[in-house]
Amino acid sequence: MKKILRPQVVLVICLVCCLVLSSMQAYAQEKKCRLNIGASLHPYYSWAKNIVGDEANVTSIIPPGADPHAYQPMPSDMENLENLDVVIVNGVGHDEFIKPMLKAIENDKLVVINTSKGLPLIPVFNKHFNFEKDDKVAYNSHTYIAITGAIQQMQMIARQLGKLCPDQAGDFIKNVRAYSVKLRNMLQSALMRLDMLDLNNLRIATVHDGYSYLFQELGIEVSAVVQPRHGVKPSARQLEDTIKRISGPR
Amino acid sequence: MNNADIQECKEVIVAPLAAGREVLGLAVVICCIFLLAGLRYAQVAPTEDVAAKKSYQIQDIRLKNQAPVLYRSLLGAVDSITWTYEAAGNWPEISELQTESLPPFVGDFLPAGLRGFSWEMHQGETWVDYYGSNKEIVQEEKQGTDPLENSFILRIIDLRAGQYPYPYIQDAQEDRFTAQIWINPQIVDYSVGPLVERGWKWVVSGSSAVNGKVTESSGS
Repeated sequence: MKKILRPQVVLVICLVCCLVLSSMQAYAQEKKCRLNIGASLHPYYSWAKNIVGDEANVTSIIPPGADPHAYQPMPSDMENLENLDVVIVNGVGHDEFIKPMLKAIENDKLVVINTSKGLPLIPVFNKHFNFEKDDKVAYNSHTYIAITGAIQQMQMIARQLGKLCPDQAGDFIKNVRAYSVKLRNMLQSALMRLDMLDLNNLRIATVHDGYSYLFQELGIEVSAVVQPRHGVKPSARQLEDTIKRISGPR
Repeated sequence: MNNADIQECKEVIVAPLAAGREVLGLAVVICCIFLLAGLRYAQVAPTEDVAAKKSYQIQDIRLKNQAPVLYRSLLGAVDSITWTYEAAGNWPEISELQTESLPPFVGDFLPAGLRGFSWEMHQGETWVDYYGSNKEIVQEEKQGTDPLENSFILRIIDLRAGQYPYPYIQDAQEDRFTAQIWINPQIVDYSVGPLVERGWKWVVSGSSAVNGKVTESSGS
């Protein structure tokens, strides 16, 4: 009798243990913080994805290939925004489309992460501000085209997300540190290549004022920007000025 | 029509009956336009409190030469330092930061002209100063680079740990740490005591959203 019962009892105990364990796992999954994160620009999507991994849902508010300067929000975008816990925005005007959307939605829980907060900003090219008189300065919004800047912004995003999900804060920090190493290696590689060049007489003109942050990190000065504003053709006088800046003495 | 008829003609200007009302209406419309423009300006005008900037502060957009690069790099190091402090319970040494390949403590991640900076750590009970200055200026100038002739201090304060040096930013979000970057226009040695009295300037962001309320008394 003993010999017959013993395996049955063990089997029952095992089954009970399995049930308890699986229900505990399911409970832990339910309790786990899982954020819905939206990104107003594609780089923010990439950063957020690298920070959270599979621990949160990350979506891009604008579709792939869309130009954020000219983007017109669709009704479905509003619906998506209302279901988000967090939205990551530029904060210096590169994603102007998001402002009216944020005003219009009814989502009190939505946390807006402004990636430009605490970031050293560069004034727009070729505008002369009187700092003594505390002129209102217009800043270059291409803060995401940078490496050190990207690391700083990612750290800030990770910090904010960590506050919302404290249990996962450690993972977010670990992921940012790992990704930062990759980015710094890219920076070092670029700097090493620049070291081999003679930059003394180098003058750079960019079509669009989008690379100031990156060039600053590389120690390169932008001499001229062809487009006065995004998508605006330069006048004859502006072109003449650009040519002078490129061809004249440094 | 002969010459006699022309001489008899007389130019008569008759004001329209409603001219007064038209002028009044136009004046009202102009006033309304000005009023609307004023209201719109008040709505979109910057709320930046310019007066909040102290005499010992300098806006980051006014940094010259390669100083913005070093400033940016120091800001980027803050989180790594505080995360290490939180995990280990003490401020990381320079050698630790170099092992971690953290710029600007490792010059390889900086453009030429900033690689000669050497760094020292000075700490109090609740704060740490990472002081750096370029000791290799002469050598770098010989190599044809344009070295930066400034000194920097990255000061990180643990606001929850007790007494801390002044001034500091009272952040509305009540973060545990606050970081300050100080610049001296010359290469000077590190000295203990208030930096303000020794010609150091606290670099603050040019954008208003960043700066909280500055408190000038020491805090705890």
